[in-house]
Amino acid sequence: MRKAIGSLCFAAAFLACVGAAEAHHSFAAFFDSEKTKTITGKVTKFLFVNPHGTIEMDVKGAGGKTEAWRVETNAPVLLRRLGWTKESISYGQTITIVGWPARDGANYLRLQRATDEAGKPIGRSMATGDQQ
Amino acid sequence: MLRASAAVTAALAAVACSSAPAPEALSAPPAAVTEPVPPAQQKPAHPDLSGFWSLNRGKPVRDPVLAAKLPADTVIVDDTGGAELPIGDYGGLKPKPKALAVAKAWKPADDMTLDKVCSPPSIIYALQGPFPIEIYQGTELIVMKLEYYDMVRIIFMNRTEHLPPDAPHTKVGDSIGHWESDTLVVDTTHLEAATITNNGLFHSENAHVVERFRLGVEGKTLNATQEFEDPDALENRGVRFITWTARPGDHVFPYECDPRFAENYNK
Repeated sequence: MRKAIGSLCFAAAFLACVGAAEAHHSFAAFFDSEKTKTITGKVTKFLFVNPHGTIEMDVKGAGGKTEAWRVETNAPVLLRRLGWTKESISYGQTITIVGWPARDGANYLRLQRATDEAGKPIGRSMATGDQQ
Repeated sequence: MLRASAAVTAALAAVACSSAPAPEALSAPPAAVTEPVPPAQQKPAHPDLSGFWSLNRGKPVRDPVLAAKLPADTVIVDDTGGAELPIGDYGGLKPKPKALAVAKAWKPADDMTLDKVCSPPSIIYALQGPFPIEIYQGTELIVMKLEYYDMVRIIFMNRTEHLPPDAPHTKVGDSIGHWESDTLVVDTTHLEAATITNNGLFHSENAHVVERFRLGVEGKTLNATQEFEDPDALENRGVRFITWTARPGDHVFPYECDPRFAENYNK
């Protein structure tokens, strides 16, 4: 315990030294790049803003119960070059998302690719390994 | 720093000498007239790095000319591009005890707040991200626009000394540049504290960065090394190799970070 408190004191002192440390989103900390999950559902919200876009969806779970899922996209400034716009996804639209799941087991994915109800790709996929 | 300043002075002097007309010998015979080279055929003093550069998706080129300039104790941080290091992995960098304590206490969700989510990293993390850059090269200034967080760097080619120590520190810092043959060398100080590896390891305001930029084959690629050291945060020096590909006619898009992204983490 004393050692832990000592570390925290060091941390506080260092942060004070470096000032208000900036921080931003980390893919590796949030998502498991070794796993993939696919969900299909109706879009309830689509926010196409940097640093990351957000797609919220209602997805029917195994027991027929509706679950709220959230999907994070790459930076929209990069997606624009892959054919995405803020109109690429509409409220109420049924879409399928393939993504990397959250490490903490939450209903939360990082987008790999998306398709509409007819199976047509929405935009083009980022290259493998692009996590920004 | 003094060595860099001396090199800049020497480079500027060399440019001045090479562009100045040779003094005429008053008694020289008017023979052996050399055909003047039309301006269009004259080789420019330095390569032109201007243009739009898209970050290469694969492994960056380890240009041997740039690699030869690296000090022996420099560790290569191999996370250039979209990939990121997991928590606890600093790519071979050795954090000092205080920096390591901060890194171990760091939690990714702490960053997802309205006041932090749109705070840009410094050039140490920003330059290697998978976002394009645009360069406008002049003789006294070189301007580098980064698509990431709308960052704009100004590299002062007409200065050989950095700003005074009490000048403001920023995420782009104070950059002075000079040419070493075909390589643009940029020395940067006055950086605001920010992440190095996006997983809890931060550099301090005393970080020092040296970058070298050199055109690749036929000018279609731009290769760089970005060395960094920090007496407050790191025991060793780090470097990232970075490669971009030219895409003429393209431009960086506005980033215009929107903090609403962070709202999802506070529901």
